[in-house]
Amino acid sequence: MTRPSFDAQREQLQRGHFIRVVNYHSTPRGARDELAKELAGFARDYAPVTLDDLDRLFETGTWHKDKPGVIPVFYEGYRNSVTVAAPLCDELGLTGWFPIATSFVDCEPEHQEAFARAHWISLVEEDTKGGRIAMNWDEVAEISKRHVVFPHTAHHEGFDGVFSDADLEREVVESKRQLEAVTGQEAPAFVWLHGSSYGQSPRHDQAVRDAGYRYQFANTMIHRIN
Amino acid sequence: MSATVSGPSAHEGEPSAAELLAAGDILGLMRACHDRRLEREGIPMVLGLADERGAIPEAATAAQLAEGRAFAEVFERYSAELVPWARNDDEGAVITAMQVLAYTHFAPGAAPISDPASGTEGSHA
Repeated sequence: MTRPSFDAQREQLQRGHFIRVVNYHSTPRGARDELAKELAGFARDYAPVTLDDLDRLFETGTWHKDKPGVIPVFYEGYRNSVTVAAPLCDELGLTGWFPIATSFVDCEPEHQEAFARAHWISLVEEDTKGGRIAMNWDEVAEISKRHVVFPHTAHHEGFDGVFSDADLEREVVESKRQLEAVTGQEAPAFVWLHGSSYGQSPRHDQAVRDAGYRYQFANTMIHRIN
Repeated sequence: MSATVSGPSAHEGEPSAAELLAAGDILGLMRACHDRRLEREGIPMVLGLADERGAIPEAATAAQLAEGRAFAEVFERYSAELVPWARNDDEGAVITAMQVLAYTHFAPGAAPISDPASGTEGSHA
């Protein structure tokens, strides 16, 4: 069990065990050109990271492409992840990784702003102009054909807000089941709100492991757990 | 004399990560990476890899190892400069030092990792 620390981070770097990640949240249409420019810079200098690439990196310890890898991560399940971010990734040949708060997607559009405000999902002005804020299930299925989608819990919860067995079932297990039913493929990773690390709570670690996730993403590292 | 930032950096009229680094302004680098405009700019991160099932084999390429060691050196430098007070397991402090590392040496327009602070060059992983 690897808990975040200066020693752990130093050792991982020294062993060459690291990967570059860029975290995004709402990607409004109004900022599309700036996002496009930034992503184009990453696409020029770095290689996309598919799930197979990440598996191989863990298995061999060695990155196998000519350019270093980069994982652009688009959090929460915003509609603009599908309308803005994913098409840019397609255009640029990047593989996007999309952690989705599944209950945000399930929420009726007229209640999505309140859902977001109630669950630490940040909004920009464009998100509040009316209409759907979250992607819908058809869109989830569509982007899963070219990108990696996985649960960011159901309700955008941190491990320290998930107490009962029913909470764990809903946030960790049911969110995976729901995504997999829609995409027809494995949801390979999981990430808590605030990117809490594996190793903070044995009970929560076990729930994530038992649910069958391959990876847990966190703020200092990616944990391979199954 | 230290270059400073009054708002989001790497933006028009403000010093780039490379300029801040050249000025030795590590505090300015931290401010700049925390002032990213999140609706249009990503948060660059360098994440470690941990296999909870067993050890990951050591990286087989010299370039990947060299880059990792160069990252480790600047991680030490930024940690010493910014969070010398931190416990070894202070996750927030680790994240802060790693954010500055990523913003300074990985984000578009950042200083290459071959900067004099590291004295090492590499480009893989």
